[in-house]
Order: sequence, then structure tokens, then C-alpha cells
Amino acid sequence: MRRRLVGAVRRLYSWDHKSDPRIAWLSPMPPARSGIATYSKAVLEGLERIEYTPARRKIVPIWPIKHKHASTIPWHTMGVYHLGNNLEFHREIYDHAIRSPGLVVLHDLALDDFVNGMIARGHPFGHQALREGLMNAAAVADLPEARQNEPLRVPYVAHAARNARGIVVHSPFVERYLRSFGCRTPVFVAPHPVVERESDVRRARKRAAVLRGALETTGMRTLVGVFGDLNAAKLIDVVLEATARLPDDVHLVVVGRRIPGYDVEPLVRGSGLGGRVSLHRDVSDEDFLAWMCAADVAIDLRFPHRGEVSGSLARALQCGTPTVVSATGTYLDRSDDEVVHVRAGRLDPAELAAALRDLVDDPERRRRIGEAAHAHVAELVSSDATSHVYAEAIEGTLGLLREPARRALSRWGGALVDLGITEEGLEEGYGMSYARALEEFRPH
Amino acid sequence: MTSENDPREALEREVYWAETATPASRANRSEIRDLLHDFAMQVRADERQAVPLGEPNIASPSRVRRKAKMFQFRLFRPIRRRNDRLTAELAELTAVLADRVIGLEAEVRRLKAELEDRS
Repeated sequence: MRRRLVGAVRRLYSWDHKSDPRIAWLSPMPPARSGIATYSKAVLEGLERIEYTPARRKIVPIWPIKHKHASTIPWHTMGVYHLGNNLEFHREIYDHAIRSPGLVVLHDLALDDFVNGMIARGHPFGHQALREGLMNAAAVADLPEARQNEPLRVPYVAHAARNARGIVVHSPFVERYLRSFGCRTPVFVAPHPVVERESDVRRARKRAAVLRGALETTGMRTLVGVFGDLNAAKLIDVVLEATARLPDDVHLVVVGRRIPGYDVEPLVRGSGLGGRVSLHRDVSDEDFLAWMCAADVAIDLRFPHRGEVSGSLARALQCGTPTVVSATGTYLDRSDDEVVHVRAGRLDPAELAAALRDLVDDPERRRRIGEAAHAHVAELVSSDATSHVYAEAIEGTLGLLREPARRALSRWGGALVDLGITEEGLEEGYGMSYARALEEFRPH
Repeated sequence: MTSENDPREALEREVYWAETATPASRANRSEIRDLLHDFAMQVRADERQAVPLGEPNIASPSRVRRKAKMFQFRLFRPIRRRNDRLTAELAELTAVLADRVIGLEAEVRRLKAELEDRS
């Protein structure tokens, strides 16, 4: 009786022993002005659709991250951290991802701006990320993508990768990159989810006819479009020059979000295309999708490539709009049936114009590519592939964090590191007998 | 998932994760300097914030308890802020000292080599 009473009093005053059984989902969410917000919403809807509840635990999105969350997030069963290259959206998420290791979703592979921003703001993890990146730079030097694209030469992502207990990526290329610098954290490749509802695409197609109608009165017969965040990496200047080399009935439309530090308007005005080019900035989601459906060809070039999977490309595939992409990194995951690859790097306008001319002159080829792209998306929708990979990733990481044998192995690994055992030591068999013995306690 | 789960893989993975924080007892000179630098950065960042980010000891899933802890922490914040500043300055000075030690060791190595050449 006395012991029970002491236990009850102790429980009453043991302030920090009640963990939150839910899974914290740290990601920008709509209406945040980030593509990751839409992505995240689509993934959560997908998980709901397949009725996935991780070990009967609720997934709770946390956004915006407020000060009170700083003290509650570590108490969740597990955190799912969405990381991108934007300091404004991901600074706090990064902090929690390092302090309370869980499942990290990598939206950008090159975190150069992010890490430099952390250093500039005196964030304690900035220097750690920089050091780890520089330490691993030699390991990625042999990758052609790292040679071609400056942001991929230093793997700043190594720090986050080492501090994660599971990583979700959107492309096999990203996994290859992570493995190239010796990342041993389990990696799950989840295809980019289908972010738009089919009903919204149908509505956009109807509106596309209206948008095209207005341009057709000015003599337009083929519409080429650049979509997404308007930044230098999209090579909009090259696209403008290439369009100038095409027949006069080919018009260009540039639709997307304004990005601080890059102004596309002087380029458009100085292109000499006059009425053949139109610029639509910060349009609504409905208009964005309608323009994408209105285009005969979409152009999604990247230089430098940062290892990201393009949300605009995912939408273009869904709309069935044939897309010209750079033959690099994550873009190589799409087959030649679904997209048109052009040379990686800073493309010559004449090369792009030649690729575009082929498409402009061949409506049958455009139709074929568009249909293959749409079929790929339809397959993703019917299989719910993204949601299933996420379910597997959450389940796997949760299992890893909670499994008693693994916790013992973790302490063992820490002790070996304290003793100075490195990978060479492990190869010689140090510490293996205990690890093998622990294996017997694992559920099979 | 791409990683296998045999004991060797699992142990290699745990060692990889554990290597995040180099134990101070095993750190070499430049690692000690980096650790001191990180520590100074951490304390400087804490100094600027009302409540240190991600500090589980000033946390609780219970709202009332969390508020009580925050209140208590903020009540003594002026004193702690001074301590944070002094600790950061101490850490920065020690990091400079570690820098000098690295320089001195290089100098000693050079002088030893010179001495050997002469003899």
C-alpha cells in the first residue's frame, strides 16, 4: 500500500515521463508558399486513403512551428522531418531533425543555401553541417552530376543523413548520391505523389481552351510553356532565345512564382519576342494548372541541378503535357517515352530549338509522349505507390527506434566508437559476436 | 528499403550513427577545437533566445507544467543570460587556445625535423 502511494506521488511529480504517442509531421503545410506544402498534403491524404495508421498512432502535422512546439516535439513517438533548401521554412525542422532523430524526407539534395544561411545566422548546426559536407566532398567527386552541378559538389546533406534513422527520397539518383559518401541510414525511394486531383485537372482542361482561344486570335498555333518557381536554374533566358529561333506561330508562356533575387521581366522584355511571349507571375493554383494544360509542350530545364524532383514536372505528367527536361540527376529517372531529354548543363539555344522544333512539327509524337506520361501518373494513382512507400518507411523507422535489441546494439555501437573502433576494425570482426547474439532477440 | 538487416550491416550502421559526436576523450586537436567552437556557437545561440530551442528539460507534454517551467526559466533569465555570455566567451577563448596548440605542435614538429637534419 505504502509502495503504491509512493508510486502515485512519484508519478504525479515526475514531470517528464509521459511521452506523446503520436507521430509528429514537421513540414510546411498549405497555405505556406512552398511546393513542399502541397506535396505534404498530398502524402497525408494518400496515407489516409490507404487507411494507414502506424501502430494505431495518429500522425499530427505541426505547422507553423511555434515556440511551444520546441518543447513538445521531442516527446512524440517519432518525428517525420521534411527538409528543403529554404531557411525560412526548414530551419526549425532541421533543428528538430538533428536533436530528435527520426524519419527525414529530403526534398532538396543540395542544401548549400540552407547551410550557408544557418552559418550566417549563427545557428549552431551550420558549422557542423559544413564540416561534415567538406569531409565527404572527395567521396562524391566521381559522380558526373557532382562534376557538372556545383551545388552537388559538397554534400551538405551528410549531416542530416547521419542524424536520421530513416530517409525518404523521391528518386533513385538521390539514393545513389547518399550511398556514394557512405551514408548507411536506411533509404526509402518514394515516387513523387500525384499532387492534383483528377477533377481539378479536368476543370483546368476546360479552362485551357479559353486561355488558348485568346492567344489563337493573335496567330498562335503551338504553345510552349515554362512552369514553376521563376529562377535562374530554369534557364529561362535560353528558352527565350530558343523560342526566337522557332516559327512565328510558336508562342511562349512563362507561368510561376516570383523568387526573391531573380527578375524574369527584363529578360522577357529584352527577348525581342514581343507578343509571342507572355508572363504570368504568382497566379492561382487553378490558373497554373490551366496554363499547363493549355501548353502543347512544357520545358523544365535545370542548371545547376540540385538533386530535387520537380513538382512542376509531376504536374505536367499528370496533365499529359509532353515535357522537355535536362538529361541529369533525377530527370533521368523518367524514361524517353514519358519526357524528351536534352543535354545536361547550360544548353545552347540552338540545341533546345532543334528539340522543340521536332516536337512542334510532330503532333503525333507529342500525343504519344503525353499519353505515356499520363499513363505513368494513372499507374501511380491506382497503385498508391507513394503512400505505400511512406507507410513502409514510417513502419520501418518506428520499428528501428522502438526495438529493444536495436537499442542495445546502439549502445554497443557507441561503446565501440568510444574505444576507437572504426569500419576497418569492424571488418576484422571487432564487436561482432555481441551483435550476432543480439540478432537472436530480434523478431523474425 | 535498400539496407539489409544482417548483424554486420546493423552494427556498421550503429557505428556510423554513433560517430556523429566524437567523444572528447578520443578527439584529436582539431576535433577538440571544432567541438569547442560548436559549444561556443550553441551557447551564443542560447543567449539570444528566451528559451533554448529543443531543450527537453524545459518541456513537458502537459501545458500547465510546461508553462510553469517556462515561467521559472524566464524568471531567472537575466542571470542565465550573463552566464551564457561568460560561458561562450570562455569557450571561444579555449577554442583560440586550441588553435594556438595546433600551431605550436606544427612548429615543434618543424623544429624537431630541423634538429634531426642538423645531427
